[in-house]
Amino acid sequence: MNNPANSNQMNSRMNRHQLLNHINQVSFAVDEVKLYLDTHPCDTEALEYFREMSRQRNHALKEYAAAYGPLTIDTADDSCAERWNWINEPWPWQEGGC
Amino acid sequence: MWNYEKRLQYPVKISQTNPKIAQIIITQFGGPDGELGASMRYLAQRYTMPYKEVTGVLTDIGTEELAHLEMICAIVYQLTKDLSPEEIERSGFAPYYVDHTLALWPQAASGTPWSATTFQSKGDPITDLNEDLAAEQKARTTYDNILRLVKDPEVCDPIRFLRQREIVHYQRFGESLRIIQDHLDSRNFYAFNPEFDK
Repeated sequence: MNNPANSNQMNSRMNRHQLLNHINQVSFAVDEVKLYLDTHPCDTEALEYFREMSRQRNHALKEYAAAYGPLTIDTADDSCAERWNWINEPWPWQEGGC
Repeated sequence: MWNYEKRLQYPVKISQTNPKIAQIIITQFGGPDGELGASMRYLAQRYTMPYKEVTGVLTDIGTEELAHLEMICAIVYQLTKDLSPEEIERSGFAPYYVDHTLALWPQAASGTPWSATTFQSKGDPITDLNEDLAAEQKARTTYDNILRLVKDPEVCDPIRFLRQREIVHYQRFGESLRIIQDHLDSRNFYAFNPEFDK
C-alpha cells in the first residue's frame, strides 16, 4: 500500500486513469477490511488499516470529483460547475466509464 | 438505505463482443446461484438475525453482491453491444434477443427467469448460515465452470475477481456460523432457535 505520509501529494500527480485505479484499490481495501472487522471487531490493527484506507479513499474521491466529475453523491457538487454533473460522465458499464 | 457509487467494484473493459459467452455469463445475473439471488438472500435473512456481527456480515456481503450483479451486467452488456441481426442469428442469441432486444434481464443460462425459489430465508441462524456457505460454494463452482469455457482474457479477469470474492465470503460466513454457535448451548446447538424461542 501507499505510504500514507505522502499519499495526498501523490494523488495530485496522477492522471485520470491512475487516480481511478487508486480509488478502486483503496475502496477494495475498505470493502475487504470492513467484512473482516464485522467478525473481528476488536482487531486494532485492522481498525487502523480501515481508518487509513478510508481516509485515502475519501480524499481521492474528492479529488476525482473536482477534476473529472463525481463518483459519489456526496462529491456530486465538488467541481462547482453551473450544471448538474452527476449525469454527465459515462456510466460505469459504458465506454469511458469507470 | 443505499447510495450509488458511479464506478464498478472491479473494472470491466471488453473490446470483443461474444453473444454466445454472454448467454452463459448471464446466469450469474439471474440464475440459481447468481448475484441477484445472493444479494436478496442475505439482505432478506438479516432482519431477524439476533447477533450483531452476523447482521453486519449479511448486510455488507448482501450489498457487495449488488456490486457484483452490476459487474456481471456490465460484462453481458459489453459482450452484446451493437450486434447486427446476422451476428445474433449466427451466435444463437436470437431467442434472448426476440424477448429483450439487447437489454439486461435476470435469467439463467437455460432461459429460466430469476426466481426467489432459488434461495431460502428460514429464520433459524444455523440453517441460514449453512445455506449461505453453500451458496458461496455454488457460485464459486459456477465461476469455475464459466472460466473453463471463456478464453478472452478481458472476460476472464473480472470473472476471476468475482470467483475470489466467493471464497472470501465463504470465510466470513464460516466465522459467522462460529459466532452463532458460541451463543448457543454447546451440548445441543438445536436446543432452541434464537430467532424464535425466547
